[in-house]
Amino acid sequence: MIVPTQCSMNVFAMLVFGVLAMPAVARAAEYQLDTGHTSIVFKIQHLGISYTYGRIDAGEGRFVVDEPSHEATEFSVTMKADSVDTGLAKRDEHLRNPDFLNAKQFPVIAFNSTEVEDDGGVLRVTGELMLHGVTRPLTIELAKVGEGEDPWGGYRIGYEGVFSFKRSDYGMTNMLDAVGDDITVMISFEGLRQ
Amino acid sequence: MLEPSWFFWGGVMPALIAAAVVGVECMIGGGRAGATRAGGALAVWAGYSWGHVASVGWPPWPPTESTHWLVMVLIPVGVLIAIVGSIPRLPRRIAWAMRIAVAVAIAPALLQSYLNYTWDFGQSVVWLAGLGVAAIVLWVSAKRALNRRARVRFAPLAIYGAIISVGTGMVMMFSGSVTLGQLAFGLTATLGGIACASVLVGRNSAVLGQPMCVGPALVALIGLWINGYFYASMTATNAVLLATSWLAMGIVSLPVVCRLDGWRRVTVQAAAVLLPVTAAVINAGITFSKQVAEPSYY
Repeated sequence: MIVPTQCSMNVFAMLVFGVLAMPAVARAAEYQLDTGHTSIVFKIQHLGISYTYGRIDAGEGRFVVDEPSHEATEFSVTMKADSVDTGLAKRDEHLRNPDFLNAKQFPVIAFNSTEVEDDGGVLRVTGELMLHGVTRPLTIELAKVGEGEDPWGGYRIGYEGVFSFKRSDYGMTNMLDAVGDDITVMISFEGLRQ
Repeated sequence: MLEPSWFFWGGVMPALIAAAVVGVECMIGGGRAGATRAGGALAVWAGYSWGHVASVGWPPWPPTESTHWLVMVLIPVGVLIAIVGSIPRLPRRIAWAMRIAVAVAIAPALLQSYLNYTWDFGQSVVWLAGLGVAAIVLWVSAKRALNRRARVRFAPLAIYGAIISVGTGMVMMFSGSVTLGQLAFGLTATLGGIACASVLVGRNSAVLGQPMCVGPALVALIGLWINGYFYASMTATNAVLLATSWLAMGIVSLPVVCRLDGWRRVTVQAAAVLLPVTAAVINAGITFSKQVAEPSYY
């Protein structure tokens, strides 16, 4: 008769729970940002009279979605500071220089989530925004636009959201009288399941 | 686009602070030239730092931007080696080794983003070596302007520094960087304050030279030129012209200029400094005037 020892019981338990836990890990799907279908648009006040709109290119990004619940759990995206485009070359050049983005010194703008909370269909994504060499916490609210298979056999999910921050919080304090402190960013993106 | 209050806090206060530092030291030392050793160097640090804070706020620690590295690390190190280098009986070899170390360190400290993101190894070596050699040549030139063998008794280096600095500020502004322009004007005020205090409080005309302010002022100027060229829109031509104006201070050590009498020698030196800096300002101004003819974005 074989008497189970404490050691063999532990191994058995590890195997059982390990097998049970495996599907949960496998169900978290990673989505790579499709930069061709990602738009990052911002607006900023001019002299407190009107808004000037601009756009910036996304670099790389990914998000993770828990398959059974279809809940996103992670978001990260980078943006290219030197791609800022407001439709006027001279202004864009100024925005890239040390008075504003200092794009040669800080070429990458990055957001990395630390917590994602589902608030009745709206995702409250809390994370850190690194801009102009300064990293600060930021919460972005995202809503899912849609998901489904594309004509090429891939699977996509898209989100959109709007968020605001003060540029002075990120060390950009120049010309606050002429160019507003509050920047509102509108972002829409989709990711392709890997 | 500068706020009116900045002209006092960023333009006048650095001058008053720098003048106070030099004035106090002159008075403590009885106005002797030899007494104004640490004063000139400390005055550059105090005045420039005040100007930086008044213009762009407190720099964070550790530094994030190259202008932060300039005010938090490079200028204080420049001040330190100026003070250490003035210790009597310190071998000249050691003093020069320290100056060369700082001169060579300016570019890598300020161009970290280029080293991390833009340049490959070969480009990094070429740029850093070139900028390091240029910084050493500029330092040597300033020291030659004070060379005793050149019979220099009147060496208004603080005034020359202020002229080059105001030219740098104007070029930066014309090149579209308000921030770097403000920092250069803060340095101008600082050097102007040092020159004024030296004239008013110092009893010896040699005090006007403020030899101790040369090293830290040069570190600040090189730092601003590097920022202007690599991070803003200052052209290479204007950067070279501004550096040439500093280089021209050493013209007094040339034999042909050495043979001139006192005021003629100073006139030649002043002209040699003024010409390139004026050319840089005019050059940047012409480009700017063409740009403002286009629709304004402000």
